[in-house]
Order: sequence, then C-alpha cells, then structure tokens
Amino acid sequence: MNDNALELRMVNKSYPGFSLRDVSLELPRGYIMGLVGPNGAGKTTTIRLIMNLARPESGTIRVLGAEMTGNAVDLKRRIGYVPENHEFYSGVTTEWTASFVKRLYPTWNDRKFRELLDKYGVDASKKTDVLSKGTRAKLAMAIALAHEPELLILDEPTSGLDPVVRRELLTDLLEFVKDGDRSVLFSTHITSDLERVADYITFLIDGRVAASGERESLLEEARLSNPSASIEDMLWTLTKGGQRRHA
Amino acid sequence: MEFTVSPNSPTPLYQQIVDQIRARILTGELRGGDPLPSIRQLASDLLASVITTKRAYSELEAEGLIITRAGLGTFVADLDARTIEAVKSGVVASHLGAAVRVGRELGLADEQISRLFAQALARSEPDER
Repeated sequence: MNDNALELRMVNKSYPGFSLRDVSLELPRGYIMGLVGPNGAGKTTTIRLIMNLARPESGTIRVLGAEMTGNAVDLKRRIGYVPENHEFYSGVTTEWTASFVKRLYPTWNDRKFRELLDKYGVDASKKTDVLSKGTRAKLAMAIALAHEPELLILDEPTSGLDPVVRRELLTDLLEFVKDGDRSVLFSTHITSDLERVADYITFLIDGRVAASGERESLLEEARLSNPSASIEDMLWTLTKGGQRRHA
Repeated sequence: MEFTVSPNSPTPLYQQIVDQIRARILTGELRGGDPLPSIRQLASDLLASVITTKRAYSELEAEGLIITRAGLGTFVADLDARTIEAVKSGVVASHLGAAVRVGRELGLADEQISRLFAQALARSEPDER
C-alpha cells in the first residue's frame, strides 16, 4: 500500500496572468508539510486543486491513497479543511454554524467539538461576526478537527494571529499527528512556523516547486554553502534565483 | 521531560534535544532503565517536528545512551561509571577543542590558550550542589 497522505505529480493549472507549472510533491502519512512561498506564488491555488475546488489541466493528485476524481465525497469527509479567511455565515451563532456543518460529516464528534470550544475558549452562543480574528481561527480549527479527519489542510492558518495563538495552533498540529497516522499540509509565508513543526517543506516560487523534501535534509544542503542558513535564507535565495531565471 | 528548545538558537533543534537529554543522563538525573517519552509525544511537548525529534533519538542511540525496545518504547541505557566518565570527557573535550580552534584562528600561541583556560577555570565558581 502506498503510504503517502498526499501526492501531486506534474500538476498544471493556468489562469490569466498566473500559472502553476509541473507541481509535484509527496507527503508521507503521519507527518507535517509546510507549503511556503511569497504572496502570489500559488499556495492557495495548489490547495484549491488538492481540495478539488479547481481542476488541474494535467497531472495527478492523490489524496489518502486515492484520486480525488470519482472519490471526492468520501475523500473530503476524511479531510479537515481550513480555508484562508475563515468565512462563516454571518448573523448566526457558533452553535448554528456547528449544527450546519455537522450534517455534512457522518463522522462528526460532538463531544470532541465541545471539548475543543472549551479548550479554545470559544463561546458557542456568540454570533460568528463578533468573534475576534484569533477566535475565528480557533473556531475554524475546531470545526475542521471535530469530524476526526485523517488529513488536515490549512491555508495560511497563522496569518494575522498573535504569537500566543500562533503557538497554540502549532501545538495542535503536532498533537494531531501524534498517533502517527494523521497528516497535515499547511501553507504559510511565516518561515518561523516551519522551523518548529514542519517535517517536510515545499518551496513554491512563482508557480513552480523550487525545492521539496525533508526539512532537515534541505537545510543541511543549504548549509553547505551558508553554514548558518535558515529556512528564511533558503526562501530568499530560491526566490531571487527564480526571478533571475525568469528575467 | 521539562526542557525547552528554541529555533532562534544557532544550535540546530535536534542537537539541542540531544544535548539536554545527554546532560540529564550524564548527571544521573535520568538513570538506566528510565523510560523516555515516545518520539511523537516529545515532539508535541517541545513543539519540535517529528523528524527532528526522531533524529535526536537516533543520535543518542548511536552514542549508546538510550535504547529502543520494539513495542516497549525508549529507555535510558544501563551505563557503567566508566562509560559515563568517558562520555562526559568526550563532551567537554569537544567544547575545549572548539575553544582551541578559535584561539588558533585568532593567532594565539598555545601558551596563551592554556593560560586563558587556567584563568577561566580559576574565575568560574564551583557549582553549588
């Protein structure tokens, strides 16, 4: 059995003015991958393709061992997805939002959802519109975790959060993969998120994968030329290199 | 286990984990047979990635300080006093080696280096225990 939680092979997609070219990556089950790149590099497009919210023009995407096409309903139930802007229906409470979402997921675990709200300090009786940005992020995370997914996909989950909430969220990601069977893909442009929790990193620059692999090996390689290279240095070097190539 | 690691340190994260667990074993705070947390538990406690933590454990295993028993978990190895002394000496020797390299790079003579070492030794308060 193939033990990749996620597998992209030569995925292409173009929009006017932007294209994703030959994107390939592999995330083994049980680990965390960070998708990092400057704004506009194609992180959200990649995630939308994985979530079947857009179709690739060519290439294959396998999620939890199966192709999305033809298995979308089953696969999506096994994925916890947190989109970038934590959009909730407005004018309704957290309670209502949860009762709406839970109908979509047969595996919804209400006890777990309550526990998460408790842990995150989210008041279920409040309308989602009045929640702070940090609380909305926590609610989105609680909803994604409550149906006990095998794969968690988060688009810029830490963006705009204060350092305390950010750290709590990163702790939750490690907690999530603790059983060795569940996996995480999250995009970020904050490289310090990756330094702690990412086992694998994919650098996405200008619609292409500039590097992808185990973080420690990528860093070791970078340190051959710069002994104190950090992920941020790598991002800088790869971005500049990419710009020169395409100039 | 109560310790912390920081990505802001110039020492790689896995090395920070290795250093801290090794120190605890060498000072006797952790004894032979003591269980260590699972890799994934420790990763989550320290907010360090699973592969980083795995690497730290492999390093400690290669040094003979910990052993993993399939299905049972990871434990501190039973070390005799002589082995402990040897590992301690090894750790200190590698730090001193680094200091000597810095001295040589800056063009200090060997006598100067050993005088500085004696001074550092004299100046440092013995640890109160």
